[in-house]
Amino acid sequence: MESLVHPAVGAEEGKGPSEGVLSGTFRRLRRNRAAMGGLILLVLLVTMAIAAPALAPYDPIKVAPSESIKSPRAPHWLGTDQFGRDILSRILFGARVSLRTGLISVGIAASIGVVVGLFAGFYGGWVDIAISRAVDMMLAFPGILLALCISAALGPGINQVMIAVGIAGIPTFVRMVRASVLSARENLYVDAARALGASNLRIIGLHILPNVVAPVIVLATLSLGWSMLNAAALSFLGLGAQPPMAEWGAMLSTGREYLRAGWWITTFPGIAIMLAVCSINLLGDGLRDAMDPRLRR
Amino acid sequence: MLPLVARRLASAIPVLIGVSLIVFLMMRLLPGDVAQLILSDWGASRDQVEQLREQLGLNDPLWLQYYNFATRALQGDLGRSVHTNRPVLAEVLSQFPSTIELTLAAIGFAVLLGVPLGTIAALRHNSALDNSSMLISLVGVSMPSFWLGLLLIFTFSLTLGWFPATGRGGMERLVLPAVTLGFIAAATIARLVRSSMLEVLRQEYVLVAHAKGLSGWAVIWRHAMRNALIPVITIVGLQFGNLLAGAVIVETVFTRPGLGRLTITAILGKDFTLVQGAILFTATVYIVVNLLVDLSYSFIDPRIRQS
Repeated sequence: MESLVHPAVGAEEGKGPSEGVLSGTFRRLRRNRAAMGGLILLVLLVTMAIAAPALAPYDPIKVAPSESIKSPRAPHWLGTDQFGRDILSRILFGARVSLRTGLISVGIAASIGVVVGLFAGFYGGWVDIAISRAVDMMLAFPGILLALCISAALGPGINQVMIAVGIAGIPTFVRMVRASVLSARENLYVDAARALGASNLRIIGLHILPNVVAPVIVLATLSLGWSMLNAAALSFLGLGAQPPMAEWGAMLSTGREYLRAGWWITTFPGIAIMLAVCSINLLGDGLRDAMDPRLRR
Repeated sequence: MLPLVARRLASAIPVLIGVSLIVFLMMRLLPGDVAQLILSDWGASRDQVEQLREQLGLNDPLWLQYYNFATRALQGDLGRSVHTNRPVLAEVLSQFPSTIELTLAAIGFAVLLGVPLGTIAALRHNSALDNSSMLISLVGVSMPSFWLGLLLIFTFSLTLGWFPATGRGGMERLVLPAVTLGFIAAATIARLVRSSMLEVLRQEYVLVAHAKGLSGWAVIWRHAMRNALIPVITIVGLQFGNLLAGAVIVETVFTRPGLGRLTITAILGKDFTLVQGAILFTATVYIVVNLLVDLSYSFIDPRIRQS
């Protein structure tokens, strides 16, 4: 029998509508060691980024020609680049840029994607058809190509990259939210709410949206890694962060010419990108497993 | 089969039109005047800017500009490069073989690495081998391709001297770029093969095959592998598109001629007709490949053919 009770309602009395599902999710997530490892690494990264001004031993953009291309040893523990800038300091400040770029890009993709997907899935008809065809066209661009196309139109710069990567991420959110809404709107509690006189906006906000939150969180987490990689790639190609900004992808690009003389200039920023994306992927995979409805029962 | 082909073809056409519209509009949404941006490094006069605007048809209404662009594109005319004045299609086609060569080599490497890795992981589920395979796979999808390329150049080119670092020509110049481009796809394929194989190994017909007394390898090759690889074929086809786009980065890292490097050079050089043509061409190839993968999927899986 179809339930008239909202699926987010917890089994225990006295708890809020989503607390039962959320507490179960966190419990399952805590048992996943890989996901917890990813979470710890991500928290470390975010802490490093926030505390960069306090942790960094040197100014990340100040040039020191006498210290040019020094190998990793005291006082430059990760070495210096061709301009004598401390690599460790640039990686710490680069964490701020990369995380901010990833978060804003995902924010753009999720906020627009969720709203558009909600409308497409709930209203259906020509609205759904038009939106679905537009999404198909955007998804017809492979990988980084759409972000590259938008970047070409907007010009180089880190803000332009955030917008480009964000827009390129919208179709995935639209598709996922639309699919969740199509499933959720068939539930009896939606019909009951409508029969009680609830407006469409109220139904979408109170009854449809809670069903969408969990998959959006998973997708947003996994998209963060994808966004950071693509933003770093665009910076590597010269379309993102411009000199002298400390950004991991841009550091790899400028360090390319000094590969033989200074392998550390490209190695450590690359490790930073890999660890950041790895931690996000581990956490995202863990969240996806923890929120799997088949495991909830 | 023919109605299926016709249906897939019919659904690809509006997508192609939409893609051309998106590419067209992107280049028209540029902040500022396009002609002025192109000539910004040349100190051009207002008359020269106006002349370029006329030449590029930028004074026409937007719908007329798109109509002219689309009808010319259908006849194979993607305009002329602003800097070299060569036909864009000629520029693109001259670079395409290099990119295709790289993409095909990368797919070959991805399949040769990814399928065995995923199969072994599934057969030794929850063992150290499974965990190591999945760790390699996780590192693969998290690693930036441009960094992997630089690491390979440093190790195999600058330090060991086994392979050249740049350029095109001969198998030896293809190895490092193909491994760079294919490694990340191999990681994705390995994950998919593993989960697909685990799903298939749980099926009753596999149990029956064991009960009949077939050897382990016979069960895997004759029953499990064939079914497990059906979704993998789709992913390999879809990966082709990602590899085509990923070639942009790898060609830049290895200073290798190709469509990707042409696109980046055009973007940085503000050659907008070339950017437009190159991106449209790449997206079209991707759509055509997806169409072929879709049709081959229907051919391989008899359940889809019969439905």
